[in-house]
Amino acid sequence: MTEESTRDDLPELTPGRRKFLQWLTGGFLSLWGFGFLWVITSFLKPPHSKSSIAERVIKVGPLEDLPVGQARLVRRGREPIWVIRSDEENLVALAGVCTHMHCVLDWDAKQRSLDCPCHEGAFDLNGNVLKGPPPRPLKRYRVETRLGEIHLHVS
Amino acid sequence: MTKETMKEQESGLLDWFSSRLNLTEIFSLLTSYGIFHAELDNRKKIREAIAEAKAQPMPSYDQWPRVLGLLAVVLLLIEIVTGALLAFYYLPTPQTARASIATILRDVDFGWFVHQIHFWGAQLLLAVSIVRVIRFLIRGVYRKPRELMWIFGVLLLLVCFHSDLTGRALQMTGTSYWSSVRALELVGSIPIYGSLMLFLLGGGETVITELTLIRFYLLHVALLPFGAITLIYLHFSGVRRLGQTESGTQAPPTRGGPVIRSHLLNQAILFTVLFGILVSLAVLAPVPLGDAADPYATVPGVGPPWYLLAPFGFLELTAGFLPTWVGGTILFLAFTAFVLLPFLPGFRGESKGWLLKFLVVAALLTVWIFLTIYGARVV
Repeated sequence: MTEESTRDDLPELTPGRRKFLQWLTGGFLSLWGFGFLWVITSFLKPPHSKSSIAERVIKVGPLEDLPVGQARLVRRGREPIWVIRSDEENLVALAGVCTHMHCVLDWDAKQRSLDCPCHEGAFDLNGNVLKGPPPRPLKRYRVETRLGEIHLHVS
Repeated sequence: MTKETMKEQESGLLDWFSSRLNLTEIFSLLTSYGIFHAELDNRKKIREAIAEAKAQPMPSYDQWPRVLGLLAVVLLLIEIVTGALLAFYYLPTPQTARASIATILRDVDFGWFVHQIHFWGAQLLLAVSIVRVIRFLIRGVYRKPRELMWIFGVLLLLVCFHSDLTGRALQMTGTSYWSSVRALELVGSIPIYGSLMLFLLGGGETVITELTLIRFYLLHVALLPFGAITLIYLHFSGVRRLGQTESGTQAPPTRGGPVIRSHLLNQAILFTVLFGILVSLAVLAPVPLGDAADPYATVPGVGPPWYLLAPFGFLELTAGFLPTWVGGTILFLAFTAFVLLPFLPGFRGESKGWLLKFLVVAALLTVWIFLTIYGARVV
């Protein structure tokens, strides 16, 4: 039994009509496809972590516990941040990871610089590169004193 | 002109693969899932095989009641896709399980939608599997040579029950926790088999620990779906060997177009209607997420899942005059007899009168429904 003989009872379709119907079927099928794709991709996108104020501001400790010229490493999740008391009035907060190869920086109190233990890179208190291979300056964070306590803004 | 070249390229690609892979075998495997009901010759090239499939006329009886198997396939596919999506966020430990589902429902885009479709798809799959077994019972799809069809059908129902049971437990809400505890107690009442299952599921305890949860998770996402896919494949493989006609071996009359096209069309209609029903249920009757489970605070009025209410009711009914292990043994034997129905003396022979068949089915259903209602009342 051939294909032709089984189709005998179907109405004749003109080529134009057939093409239009095929186009229509394809269109509807792609609508389904796009719909599913849209739902699945938006599902897979992780939800925004709308962090609260408590997560955006870190209390580092009383200002009087941090002498001038000293620094403190703040751990925010897996991200280290250096908070440095540059003089009596001012505080500086810098990312604690070298921009070269992601080594964690050390505070050098004598030179007043952040030194990289891996490839002898160094940064000054503005986060600019003093020497070594780092390609970019460090990211700066806003830090302030409220009622004698150091508040670090990490948003 | 462009269309001609495109077609040529397409056919070139098909031929390229066809001369390197046994595409016919793959096509045969995929169409096994309810699309094409006759055996395909794997030695032939793919074009020949498809042409052969297209030439097969549709038997006149090939109509809607037979759609239950296809429905099971489509629903299983929906469950696998939505389940895989949920697994991207679900964390299977007692401490994090419910919180991760709450994240899916509240924060993830379309998370509620995927979750509800997964839930309602599972309920529909259960319903389809039950109706399918009832249809097999009425139509006599257990008589020689279709004994295996019956066994595969009942085992698929069993796999669906287990999937639903483990899936409920994964939520770790108060209701699901205590419902699972009731179910485990029920399983534990069966001698030998019960203690073996409890041992395999979590060291012999009837509470949900870390160990139980991760084992339920493995069953739910890997072993049971694999079992369901295998059973459905085996069923349709049987259909290919034996044909669809249940009354005899004579060649059926044919009508209409080729069988494969009609099945693809049926599937498109089915999928559209099914998806409409699923979306309506998901939007209009969303199942809420309960509070977190507390192993030290029993939620009152929580029984086992609805399909276990009948055995639960039976145990409660006989608790006055039978020890639990006797009741458990009777349940186990009754279920084994149900699975092995084609090999029981009374069912092995030729077709009985419709009245007797009707009475047997009605009696079985009545007992089941009575025990379910009784079980629901004593919870």
